[in-house]
Amino acid sequence: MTTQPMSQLAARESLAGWLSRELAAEDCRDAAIQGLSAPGAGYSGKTVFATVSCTAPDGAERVQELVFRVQVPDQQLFVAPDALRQARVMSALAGRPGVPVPAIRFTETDPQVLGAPFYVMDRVRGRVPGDVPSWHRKGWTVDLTPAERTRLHDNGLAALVALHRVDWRPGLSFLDPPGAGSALDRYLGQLGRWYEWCAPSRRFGPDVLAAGLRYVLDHRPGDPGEGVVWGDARVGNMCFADDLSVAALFDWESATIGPPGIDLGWWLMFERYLCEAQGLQRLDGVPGRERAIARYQELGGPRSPTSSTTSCLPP
Amino acid sequence: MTLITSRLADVLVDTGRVTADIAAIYPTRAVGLVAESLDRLSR
Repeated sequence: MTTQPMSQLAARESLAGWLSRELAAEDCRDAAIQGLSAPGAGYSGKTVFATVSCTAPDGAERVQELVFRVQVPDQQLFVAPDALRQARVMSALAGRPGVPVPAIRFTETDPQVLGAPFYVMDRVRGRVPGDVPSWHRKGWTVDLTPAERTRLHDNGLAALVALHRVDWRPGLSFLDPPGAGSALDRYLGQLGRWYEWCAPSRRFGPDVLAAGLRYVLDHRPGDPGEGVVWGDARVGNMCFADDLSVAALFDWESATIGPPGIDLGWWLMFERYLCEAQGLQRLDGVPGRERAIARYQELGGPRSPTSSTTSCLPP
Repeated sequence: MTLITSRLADVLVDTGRVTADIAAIYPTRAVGLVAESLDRLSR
């Protein structure tokens, strides 16, 4: 899809006009942008926070906090970036028990508005554990008690389990990768295509990466599981409310269909990445690998085969 | 995850968000984890 960079001023003016039209369709008039900010977070798309006011039919002023996710025009992480696919995923997950996602308000395919396709969702207020620096080293999670951190992690795992219990065939079958064989076979086929596409970026330990993928392909378990795979399952993509319940799950760009153990493996790997790989000690209250797997299953998460997907993907 | 951190490092450098030496930190860590895992699995 054609995309074009825009100046900030042009983008603001274009956005104001576009919002006026969209909100007018909801009987909210005289839309005005009260504030715009770009947090600089996120790598697969540009995020813009907007506070917008408009006048409802009863004359009352409505102030809305919105988040714009704009597809980046270049420098992609994925073969075929598709911001609107994320919106489609979140719309399909809306209302599923235990899987809180931000409400999608609008989508726009026309790149003339902001230079690229984008979607708009309600802003969810809460706290997100940090990746840089690791939430095991710095930030609000360090100030929690061990019991609170256990609750945070438990709530995160419960949301992951709830996602994995979603019946994906109604509404989410568009996530199913093409190809033959089991869901795991199709997932690995997709992974292999992305691996080839990433060839120019395989500058860091290419031999190790090749060996890792080879191992996964050669030792793939006979896992018959099929479910929604988030693709970036970690507490850093979760927004927590003050009571540490999960307020929202973010970042669905890599969502697909496959054995749910893929997400659990990713979760465990990311924990190692944010702890052991950085020479950090896991914060008290946060379970290690074995306890996290056991808790995932206690919460109702599907069991993987003995030669488990979690030990194989990723290694 | 290891692949995506490698790809991300390229993107961050190409877009001028960080220098190459900083960008290399993340994929290097991730590759190290894969190497550890492969070593463990081969034993």
